Amino acid sequence: MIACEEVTLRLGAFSLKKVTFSVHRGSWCFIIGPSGAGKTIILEALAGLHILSEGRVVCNDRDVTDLPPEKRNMALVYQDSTLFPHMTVFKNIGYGLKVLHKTKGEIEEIVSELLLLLNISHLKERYPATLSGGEQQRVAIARALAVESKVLLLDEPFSALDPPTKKRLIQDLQLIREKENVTIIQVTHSRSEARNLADQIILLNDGELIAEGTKEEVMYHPTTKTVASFVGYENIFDCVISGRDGKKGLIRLGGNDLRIQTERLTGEKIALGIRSEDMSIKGFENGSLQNPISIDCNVDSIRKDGALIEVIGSFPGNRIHADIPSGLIQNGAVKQGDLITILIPEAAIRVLDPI
Amino acid sequence: MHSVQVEKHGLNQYNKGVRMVERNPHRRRHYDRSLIPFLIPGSTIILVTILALGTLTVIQINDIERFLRIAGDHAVLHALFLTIFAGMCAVMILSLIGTPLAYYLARTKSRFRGIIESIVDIPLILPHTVAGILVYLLFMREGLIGAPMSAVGIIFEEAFPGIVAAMTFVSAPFYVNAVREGFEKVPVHLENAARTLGATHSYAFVTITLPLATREIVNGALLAWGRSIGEFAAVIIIAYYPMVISTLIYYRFTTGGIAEAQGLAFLMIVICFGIFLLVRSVTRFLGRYDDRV
Repeated sequence: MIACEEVTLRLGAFSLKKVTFSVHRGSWCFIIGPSGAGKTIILEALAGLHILSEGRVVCNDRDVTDLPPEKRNMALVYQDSTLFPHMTVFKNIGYGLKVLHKTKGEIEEIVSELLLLLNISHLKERYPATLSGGEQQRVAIARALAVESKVLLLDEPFSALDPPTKKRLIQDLQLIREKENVTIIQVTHSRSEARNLADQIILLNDGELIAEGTKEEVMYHPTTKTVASFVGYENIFDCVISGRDGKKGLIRLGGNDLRIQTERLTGEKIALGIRSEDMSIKGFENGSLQNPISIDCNVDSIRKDGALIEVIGSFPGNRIHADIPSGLIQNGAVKQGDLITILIPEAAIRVLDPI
Repeated sequence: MHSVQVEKHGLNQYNKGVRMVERNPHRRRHYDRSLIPFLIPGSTIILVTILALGTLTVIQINDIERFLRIAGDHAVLHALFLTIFAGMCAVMILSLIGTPLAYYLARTKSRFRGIIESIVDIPLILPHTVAGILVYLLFMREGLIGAPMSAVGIIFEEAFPGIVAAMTFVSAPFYVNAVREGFEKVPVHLENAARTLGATHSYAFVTITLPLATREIVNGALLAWGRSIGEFAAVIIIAYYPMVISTLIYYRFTTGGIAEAQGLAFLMIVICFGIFLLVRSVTRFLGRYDDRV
């Protein structure tokens, strides 16, 4: 297990503030957050490249805070390739092995195995500048694996890759993770990457940890407005509980009366979070919805985006964004200016703290 | 199959096109004319240098016998060898003590960085006689460094070590600044990656940073060596004897006039220019790597 305990770090005007989280061995943990949130810095802090102002880093029950990077066995792969430009692919991958004083034969054997594993044997004698972005990232990952790092710290490794290369590299990493029981801590800007691959997610904002947990907890059960907006809740409405009816809270939202299951008290300020893909348009719904909440709105714009139709509507004081599968709406059935009713399954509505 | 043939065909056409362009004797050369306004004022510097060198060369060729006599003079050869060797010693000392300082300055985020850089640059802004006085005060027999060194038998006043000390002092900023710029060009992420692979900071420096900054190190060494062998004022204050070439030129100028001094000056120019050209061509490909990563 790798853990950051109240890690505080100041770098010029930026600071990490008491960041605490733990990552289980063998899991794939994603660090997400807006630009400038401190995602790369936390990776570098884990690797030992910064001196902490406060807090500690623990790796397998051992305090490694004061250990230099070379003694932590955590390999860092940056977003932009950091292959050594004056060394061939073979020498790049074998670099860490040479540091470990492995014999020439051992280096040859391990590097060849990794070249094969990552399907880059044909690049062995090439220099980094002659490789594509995907090839460079594969070499960088092979180099990190060569030293038998049990923790891979990846800083947006797929950001510069085309979709097929990215898919291939993800498959490689999944294979390696299963085979070597490697823990992967990855920084990403892509919510879909985190949604598809993560066992665990850490959400940072302005140097502070604002959410931590499993993918389900962070992505699908956010508790605050900030977290919800970052994990893909396009619709967030500020409102107040105006009364109660048994287990339901009564909410008046721009002319619509909503009854939502919540324990919040009357007069409490809340926010409602709804994903755009969880919405349907009355008359065009896919099967029957259970206990749908309905919101009447005017269609401001309608646009086809691949397999989805993006409908932007408005109702007093709010805008609503719905993504409807294009097969459900015939051409021209919904037009700009139409008055429509948006249906939302009650289970898809998150009651959030308005912070 | 069809697409493969099309591709092959396309490739052949492309190759033919390339060959045709290469063989075309009427190929237009493209000069960027917009750069000419920059070249015109700048060419004054080049013109003045060429005129000065040309004048000196013509005089020497017209009196080649006198030049050959000067070039064969034992005192001249001794001074030349002494100057070149002392310059090399200064560069060697700088590479040992200046390289780590340049690396420190390239990587440190210390608030004292600016102060340290200003201290390094002091010899650049001082009159060279003042630099000589500073060196003399430190390295004379009673000086802070000179006293303990003379106790172990190393004397700086009127001696070879004094010449090297003066040359090292005045050329240090040239070396440190050039090498520091070289280190700054090497991304710190490369060292970080190396360190997470198990390399110590020193090992990462030796295997990654140093090779990638070789060109700047060689350039810094050449600059420092050039500065060293040209030093006069700082050297004569601590060591008039043994005479370096600049001291000898001054001596010949004051005793034998311009005719004596210009022959020596010409010899110095030919030798230095030759050494510069040689080192530059030998080290041309050193540390040159493709960094499109």
